[in-house]
Amino acid sequence: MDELIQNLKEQLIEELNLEEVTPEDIDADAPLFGSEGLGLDSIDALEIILLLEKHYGIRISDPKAGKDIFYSVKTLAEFINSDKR
Amino acid sequence: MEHNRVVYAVSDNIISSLGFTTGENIAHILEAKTGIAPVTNKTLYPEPFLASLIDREKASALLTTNFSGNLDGFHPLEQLMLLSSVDALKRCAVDPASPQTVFIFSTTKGNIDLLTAGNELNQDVELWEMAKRIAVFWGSPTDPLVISNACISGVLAVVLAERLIKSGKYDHAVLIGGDLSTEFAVSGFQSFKSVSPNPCKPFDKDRDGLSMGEGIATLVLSSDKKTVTDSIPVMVAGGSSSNDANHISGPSRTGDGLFYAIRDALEAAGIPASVLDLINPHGTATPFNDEMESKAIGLASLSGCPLMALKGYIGHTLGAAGLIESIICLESIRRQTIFQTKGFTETGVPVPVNVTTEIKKGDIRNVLKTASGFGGCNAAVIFSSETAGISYKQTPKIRISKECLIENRQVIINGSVAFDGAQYGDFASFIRAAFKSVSDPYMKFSKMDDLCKLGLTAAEFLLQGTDITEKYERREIAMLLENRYSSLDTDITHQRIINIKDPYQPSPAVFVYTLANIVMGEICIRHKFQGENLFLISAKKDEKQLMEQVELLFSSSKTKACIAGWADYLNGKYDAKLFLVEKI
Repeated sequence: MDELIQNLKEQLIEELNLEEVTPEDIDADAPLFGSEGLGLDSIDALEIILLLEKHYGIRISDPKAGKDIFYSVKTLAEFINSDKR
Repeated sequence: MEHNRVVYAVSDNIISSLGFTTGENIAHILEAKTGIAPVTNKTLYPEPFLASLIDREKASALLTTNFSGNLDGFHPLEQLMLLSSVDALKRCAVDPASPQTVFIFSTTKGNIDLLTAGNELNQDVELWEMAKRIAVFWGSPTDPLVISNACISGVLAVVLAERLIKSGKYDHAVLIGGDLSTEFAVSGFQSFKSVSPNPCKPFDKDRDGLSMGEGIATLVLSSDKKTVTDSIPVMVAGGSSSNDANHISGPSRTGDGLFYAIRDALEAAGIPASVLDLINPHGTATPFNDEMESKAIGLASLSGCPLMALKGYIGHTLGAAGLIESIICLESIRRQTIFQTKGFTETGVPVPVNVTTEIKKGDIRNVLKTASGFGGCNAAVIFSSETAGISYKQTPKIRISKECLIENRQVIINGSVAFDGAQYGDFASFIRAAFKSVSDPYMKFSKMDDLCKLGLTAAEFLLQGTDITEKYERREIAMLLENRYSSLDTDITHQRIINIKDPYQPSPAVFVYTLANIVMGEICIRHKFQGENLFLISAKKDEKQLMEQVELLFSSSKTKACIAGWADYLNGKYDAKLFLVEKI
């Protein structure tokens, strides 16, 4: 799980062009969207869908379905683990 | 100079899936027929989707009839623009070759279909080149104006033409709008997951996205009443534009930007909201767009006014949409008929709207047309059979209070070097360092494409130490930018991504920057500017011409300050010069 979380942080920084952010800056439990945490937006959400497809072979067709999954790096990691089961 | 000039709608043409003339299109709308149909063309998108496409075989036959095969050298979109404009121009007395006639083009992507692998630096893909070829075909002695301002381009073309004619700069305008369905656009909208699997349902509770469309339109406007042949002459009474200053792709959550455009269009037309007989909204049928529009309509006290959305007939025709739908609004007045909103059954927006569900005859005199698009831009225009709108004051008193030039790894303010980046090897590191030197940390910066980084950095330097946000209302601060290459640099990036078919992964974060006006959106978001927006494509940096446009903007809108200028980026080459212009 820790390795997956670290990989996810690096992939988010790379795919979302978060140049000024380091993996250490990202709190795995903090919200990804909204004014707290990373402050990601709707375009980032679509890019995370692409990221999941690209790196983990997971397809999410309905962006609305991802709301709980996309809450934090940790919820993303849990979702990836459960999907791979 | 004569006073109280009137802008008449003289002649027009629509080419869409529903036909090759305005009349053919209206006949199908009266039959409630949609042109949105399944498409299985893998060169447009790997999976089946729905779109409203022009019948190319019929187009080809009509081209042969009208031009006897002499259109070699014109690309497919250009040929259709010629077909559209020949129909509109042959039926009116406006001389396209007169120096008093201006050509105005509205398009998002022009000949983007030329941008295939190995063909990236084909000059014909430039919007300016496309416009120039058409204007030259018609013998126009003046340079055309080219508006590429996302999905509001068509409405902006009408607003700009109205201002140019009313101010006396030109007597006539030929407006030509067009965009084709291409893999470029279809893959981009699919990446945003904004395309519905069904024909779109504007304002409906079950709406789930837009339908792609392609279309071409021509609208001829004139100050000369003798050119009008309609029994009910229709005028362009006034218009306005705005920015949400909220998000580059997501519509405003309050509708305030569109409301400002509607309010000020009514003011320019000199009429209260209560006399409007009909609204034709953008109505893309994406959940957020229609929701935002309902809020703006509510803010404008127009909830009860009949609302006729048209994209259920011909889909979203992008840069042509505003022009095509404006022409249908003109037909509503001429025919005294409100058309039905195709695809709509039951209202599903947070603020009440009065969506039309059937064809209705009535006394239709004043119609509002609106559009909203990526970059947070909005536009509104009023068509009327009873009012010509207010006239514009001549020559406003304005001054350039500051200028910022970025070139050769230097930022120069009012002639003095403000940032020297000689030590930086490439544009990316130079512009990042320049931005950091003038701005607090800003998360969005690293996500932007190079054109936006360039424009935003120039704006930061320009605005540093000024008090314009205290001096003026945010609504009074406008943006008027131009360049030659539009968003071509990012267009090439998007095209390279979609050239890879397995895996096929178009990126929304790239696609959103394939519109040049996004740079204005980024500046507006950063500084909360909600004033007028206009993005023009020009052959070269011409400050005299730019200032003429700026003067027109000040004289014909509520603008009290404007960030105006040039920002261009292609393939590592860049050039920005912005001016802060203020009313005295």
